Amino acid sequence: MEVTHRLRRALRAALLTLSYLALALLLCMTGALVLFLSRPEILINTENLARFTPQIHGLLDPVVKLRWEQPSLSLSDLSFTQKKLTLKAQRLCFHSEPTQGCAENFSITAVVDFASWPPKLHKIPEFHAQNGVLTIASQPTASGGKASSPGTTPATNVDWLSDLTWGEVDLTFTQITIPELGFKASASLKHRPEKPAEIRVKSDDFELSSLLDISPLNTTHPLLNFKVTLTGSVSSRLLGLSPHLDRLSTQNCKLALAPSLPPLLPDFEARNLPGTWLRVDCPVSTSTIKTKIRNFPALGFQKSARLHLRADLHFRESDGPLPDFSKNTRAYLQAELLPFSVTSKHPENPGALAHSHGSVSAEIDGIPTQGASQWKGTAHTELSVELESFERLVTLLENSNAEIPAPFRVLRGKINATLQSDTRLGETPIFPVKLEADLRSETQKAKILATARLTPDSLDADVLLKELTLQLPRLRLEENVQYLSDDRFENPTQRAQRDTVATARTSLKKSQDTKFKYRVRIRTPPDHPATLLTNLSSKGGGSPGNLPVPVSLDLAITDDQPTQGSLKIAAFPIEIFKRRARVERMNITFEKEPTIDGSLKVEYADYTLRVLLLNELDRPTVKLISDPPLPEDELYSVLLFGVPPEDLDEEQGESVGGVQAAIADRAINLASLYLLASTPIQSVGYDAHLGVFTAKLKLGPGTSLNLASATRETAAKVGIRKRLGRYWTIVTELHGSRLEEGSNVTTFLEWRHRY
Amino acid sequence: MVIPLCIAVLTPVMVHAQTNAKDSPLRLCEKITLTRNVEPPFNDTEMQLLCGATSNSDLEAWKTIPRSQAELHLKNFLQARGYHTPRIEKSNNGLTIEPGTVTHVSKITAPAPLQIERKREILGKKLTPELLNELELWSKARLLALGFGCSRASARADPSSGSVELDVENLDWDRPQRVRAILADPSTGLLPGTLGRYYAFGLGETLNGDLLRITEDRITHQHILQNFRLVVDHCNTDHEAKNGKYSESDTVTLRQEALAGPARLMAFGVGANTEGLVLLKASWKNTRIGNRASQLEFNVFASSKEQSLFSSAQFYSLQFASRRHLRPELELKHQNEDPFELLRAQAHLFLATSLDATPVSLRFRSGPSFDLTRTLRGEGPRLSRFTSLTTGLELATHSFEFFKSNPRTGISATLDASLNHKDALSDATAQRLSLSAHALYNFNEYDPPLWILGFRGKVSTTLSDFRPGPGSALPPSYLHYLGGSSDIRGFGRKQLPLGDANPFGAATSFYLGTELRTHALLISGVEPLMFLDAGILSDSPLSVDPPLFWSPGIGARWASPIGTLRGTAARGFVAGQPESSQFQFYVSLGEEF
Repeated sequence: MEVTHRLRRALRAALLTLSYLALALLLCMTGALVLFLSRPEILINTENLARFTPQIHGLLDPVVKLRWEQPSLSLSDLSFTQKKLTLKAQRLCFHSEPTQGCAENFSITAVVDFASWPPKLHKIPEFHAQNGVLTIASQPTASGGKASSPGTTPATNVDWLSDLTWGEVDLTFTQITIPELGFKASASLKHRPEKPAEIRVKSDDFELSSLLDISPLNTTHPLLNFKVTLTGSVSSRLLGLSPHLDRLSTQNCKLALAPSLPPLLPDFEARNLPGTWLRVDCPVSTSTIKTKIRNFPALGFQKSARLHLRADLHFRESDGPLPDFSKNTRAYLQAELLPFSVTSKHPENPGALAHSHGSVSAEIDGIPTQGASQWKGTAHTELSVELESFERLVTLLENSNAEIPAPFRVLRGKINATLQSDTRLGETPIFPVKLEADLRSETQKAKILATARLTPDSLDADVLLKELTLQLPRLRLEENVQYLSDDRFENPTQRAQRDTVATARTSLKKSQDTKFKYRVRIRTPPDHPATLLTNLSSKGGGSPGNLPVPVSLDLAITDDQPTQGSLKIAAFPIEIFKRRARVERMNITFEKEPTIDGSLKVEYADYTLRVLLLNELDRPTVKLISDPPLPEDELYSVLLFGVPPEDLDEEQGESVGGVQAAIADRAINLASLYLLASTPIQSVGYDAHLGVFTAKLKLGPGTSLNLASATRETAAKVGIRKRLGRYWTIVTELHGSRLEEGSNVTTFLEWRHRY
Repeated sequence: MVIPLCIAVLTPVMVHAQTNAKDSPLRLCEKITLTRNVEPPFNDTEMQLLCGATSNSDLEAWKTIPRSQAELHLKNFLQARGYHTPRIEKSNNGLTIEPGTVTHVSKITAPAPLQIERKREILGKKLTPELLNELELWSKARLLALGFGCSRASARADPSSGSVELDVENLDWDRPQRVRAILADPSTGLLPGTLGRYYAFGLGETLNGDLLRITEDRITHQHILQNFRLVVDHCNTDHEAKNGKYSESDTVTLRQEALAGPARLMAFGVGANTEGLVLLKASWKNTRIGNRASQLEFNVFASSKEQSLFSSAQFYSLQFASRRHLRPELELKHQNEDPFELLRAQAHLFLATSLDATPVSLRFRSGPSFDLTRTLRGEGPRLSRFTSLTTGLELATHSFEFFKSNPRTGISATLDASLNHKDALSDATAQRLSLSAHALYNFNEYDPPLWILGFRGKVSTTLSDFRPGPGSALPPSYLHYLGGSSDIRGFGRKQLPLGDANPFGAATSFYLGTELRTHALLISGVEPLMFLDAGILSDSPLSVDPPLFWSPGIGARWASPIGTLRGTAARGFVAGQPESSQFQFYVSLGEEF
């Protein structure tokens, strides 16, 4: 019993002692807590920070390698439980693949609430960093940190951020570098509470300032509610645009990301879908355009070209705070080119030259992380260019390499061109092009409608010459004029280049897929042929009084075949063979070799004679037919000299024979034939062996012209007769019998007549 | 003396003035200036395409030619003139063109068979498209002459060096083409093969363009047809002959192209020479009688020396195409030469034929002749009659015939004989023989020729017991004379034998002459020449007696538009009789050495 009692007393004493000890411990802890809350700098101070820096580095290293110098830590009370913690450091550097950077001066200020455990950040800390240097590698190194797998966005629980308010941020980077992109810029980020964040980035090629307004519209995903207003400029070089443009600028370019936004573009079919929306509404302008183009100094461009880019992008709902780019996304984009004008400053004819406007809209459906080739959608393009003054263009191009040649240069009027396209993404884009020209001059006119289907690798155009009247130069066929360069003249360099080009063409032909294919059809309306004004349709010999020559065209010019189609000269009167005649038809068909089918009708008192031109254009087959039928030699005789063969003198007879032989041998081209027909013939000779055609034509009283394709010593005519003119011949002959001593060679001037 | 002095003084001045004019800038129009003139000047059409139509023209669309268009035209126009490296300066005021230098041909290369080295007057000429055309045509003629009727050469030139290259593609030079067939032209109305008698070649022979030309000329020169040509209809390239000696693929088919024209030809002519003064002639000819193209002609001729009526016919009477024909001739003549004056009537009935065997042609005729001569002046019988067998043989190379109008190469020879006997309707026995030959050599066969060396000679004799002189039964037509433009040019026409010593003709005459002519011209178109003629005569047949007559001389030849004009100046010498030497001048039209 005693033992029991003693045990009880000892147990009571032990319990009492323990109670005192616990109470003392409680009191100590309470005191320590009160002491920590009232004087946290006892523990959280610079000395302890320095002491524990290695441990902190070790703790952070898996995430970010952080190093600093001269750290200092200060605390101040905001309340008993809320403390303002300020960490300052010199030359703070961090390295977290793929980014590394340093800041000369760095401070971070945070408000920590110790009222709960663990302590909570009361608001997003304030950051201040000056003279920072940031380098961002586009690809993390193998030894770097974790790289997120493509197509996935880490789902991070950021609920703890929901009650935060943004603190003050002041970051200044003197240099941000992305070596792989050759990108260098300076940047700053400033944020004051309750105000939009201001971001500035500046480099040689661009300058961007933005006001980032993050509004806590969505409590679940606060990062999905922000508005950005961008103002800045980008050099065209950075964007790879035309060197004639200087910079692209935007003013108040508005970007917004939110779960729900009223649609900017009403045509977007996906506007009622749940998810996240990104809206872009950016006016873009070229800050300046280089107005001096070397070859066209008088060409003046509008100071600034303006574009308005608008887009609605819809992202499917995602688990994280950011849009999930691995999910299907739809976008409706629109770019509108506001009217843009080009002027001519040429002193002779200044003024408006052309203006253009256009737009591109597209609806795209696809997964952003997949390549653009996987996206689907449609795009609609419209571009309109109006050349307001063709004559001003002529003046502007004067003395350049692109001069408008005669006879087109005297035309006046407008040319409109429009390009429209409805294209499905993933398919070859097709651009229907339409061009209308209405040009006129005193004697000429050109009303042309051209439509075309243009793709990146082909052109299929239809050029309709609705009304075309052109004046040809005055041609005197009797004058020897070399209109085209003779390609038989080549120096070794040119020949080597030609061979190289030929080889390249051959190899290119083998890989037809890479060749730009084109097919251009040029035609006149069936009931409205083009008209050529030429002196060749006159009385011949270049006398004035041109007769219009109606020409119907339907030609197809392609990249891989000779020109095909037809050129038809419709019926028109003409004066040939010294009498009124009529071209009934003159059809030239272009296939492998151009062929001709022509008919000229010459009326005589007793019969009608037709000259038919057939087969090859270069060497036409000429047939004469008559009604009633006449022998062939009589037809030629009548046609050339207007008399039957029995009335020809010997020279004329030989001329008839020469023409007949030359025509039979197809040695006369159309130009020579026309010259023969339109000019009085004195004599015609033809060397059938050489194909050399010679003609002596009467151009006027006392004037004659000798036409010969060539002369050659060995081609000198055998024989000792020389024609002097109609009936008259110089003939040298052996006179007298050879048996006689008196025989001699004698030359006579003879009058000869066959009958 | 004065004229050469004036020329010596004025020439440099004129050349300087011309040089200045050529080198001074030439303002073609407001916007185009040439730093130097170009030759030939731009024609009207070219000017229009360079400077635009004239202000009073109705071609408003062509009144202004833009600079680049004018530049393009200008390059082409300069290329046509041999200026291949023009330097063109552009400015807002227009174009200033330095035409550069004319490129001249420095070298020509061609396949060896063409023998381009024979083509003269190309090296150093302006390198123009026209020159390339000329070379291509020359090559085509050469190819045709070598037997390639369907081939053609193409020329290319390097304007920087002036070298020209002639190329003939895919040609086997060892296999010239042969004539397989000739397609007749039915429009002539002649029996097939009729014209074959004029062919200078035969079927199966190698094609030769020169022979085609000779054939054409024979037909047209004899007025058979008004116009006639032989052209290559097609070349056979497809299959092999089954049993022929040559491949079908190496043959060509020719085609006749003819304009027959009316058959009857009437002509009146007038001429002149230093021997006969004014010459008059008239002729009528039916060139095609029947479908064998027999011929009949009548001629009247009159000069101060001679008046004659001549008619002849060529009757082709065989049923098949043949060269054999009958040739009757009838001639009435009055001859008034210095040594004699006579009236003469001749009648011949020849059987004639011809043969062409490359490279020569042969003509033969033979038949009875009747010759009645009345001597009005000079020694000899007042009236003489001869009935003879007259034979003539002509041989000429085709090259001689080909260059007949412009002699340069070839050989011809003629043998004539007139045989009779006093017992056969003749007053005396007198065999008249004559052999003449003519040879021309074109040094290196240049085209055109550089030097042409020619020889000609003639031996004539009358074999008879009679000698020229009083009482001789031989009329002047049976005697032989020398002198004149056709033989010894240092003496007058038929002056030899010299009249004082021997007023009669000779029984034998021998003549040999040589002439050297050059195409290296002093004045454009005129060819200087030098010659040496020599001859000797004899009163006896087949013998020669002194003196020797010879005459050196110089002259010039001009191939004028109306025929060859020749002028010679020679001094005639009589060996051993220096006092008998004399100067003789001749001017002739149409006559050749």
